[in-house]
Amino acid sequence: MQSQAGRKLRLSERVYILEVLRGLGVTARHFIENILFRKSIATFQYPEEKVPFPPTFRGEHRLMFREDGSIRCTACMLCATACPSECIYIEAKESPDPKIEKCPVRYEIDMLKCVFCGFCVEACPCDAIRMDTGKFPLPETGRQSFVKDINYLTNNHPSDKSKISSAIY
Amino acid sequence: MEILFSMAEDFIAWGRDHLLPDKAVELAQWARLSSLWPLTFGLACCAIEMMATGASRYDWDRFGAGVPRASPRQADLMVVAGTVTLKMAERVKLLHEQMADPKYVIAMGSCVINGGPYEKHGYHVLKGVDLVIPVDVYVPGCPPRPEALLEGILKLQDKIRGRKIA
Repeated sequence: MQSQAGRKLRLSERVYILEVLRGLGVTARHFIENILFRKSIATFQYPEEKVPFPPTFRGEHRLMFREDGSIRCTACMLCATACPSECIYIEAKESPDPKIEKCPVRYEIDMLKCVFCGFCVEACPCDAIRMDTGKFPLPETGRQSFVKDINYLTNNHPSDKSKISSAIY
Repeated sequence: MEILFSMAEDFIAWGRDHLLPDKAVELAQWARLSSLWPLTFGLACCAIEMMATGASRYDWDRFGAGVPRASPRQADLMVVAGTVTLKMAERVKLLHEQMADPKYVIAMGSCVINGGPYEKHGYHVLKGVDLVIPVDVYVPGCPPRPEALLEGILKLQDKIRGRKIA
């Protein structure tokens, strides 16, 4: 009697029941190891235990501010034009600052349509929009609550990230 | 004698409150939300993320949703994961009709919810699967993180828990 590798089987292997018990022993060893030392379990208990996302993760958007506290967005519509899913809606008004032409009065992102490609961040010449919040939009049972308005986006800064951008445009 | 009558009334009221329909409904809902068997069914890249949710790192079996059925007759939950093309939409609708009641649908990803990146120029893509089948939970993302799908399952369980039966 030969194994598949061509090696001659020993008597203990030919008896078969001993090998079955050995295999069961391996299973039992892993079971006991995983019961006693939970570190070797691959699963993490999601709602209680949250593993941080990688730093390049593109999550929910946030709108940045200048040093003087005004919103950086100049309503130039480049992000809305670059968006492949047309999820950005902007309405402009005249900016109170005479050096700047416009600022947004409505800036809405439909999280259902958004494909999180980051094209809006790349298109923005003012560093006004970023996707580094590290949050993902939570599921809902209806479509209504997914349109995030300007109040939400300007307050969407995580606690460890600055809401002021010092970029020069 | 009146005491007996009042006791009987109290007993009937107690039974109405504690034994009869409410508890049975609660039990049925608990059984349903603890055994959401999904249909083995994926359409595009979101399905890869759905498989990751089913694998050991995220493991949706912890919420009772981990027995993917190969037949729509045995499935409760349809996770529509991936771009629904117009050709596939008929099949999705057929699969949904073949599932036995009560059935639930999770729309996973932007393509399923309203076309996603194909919204502008996708001549072949259904702009939202809720045009053909009713959707219970919307999970945004492209594709959603496995955590987001788990949140969607938890949301669906909350929805089932709150649902009244006739």
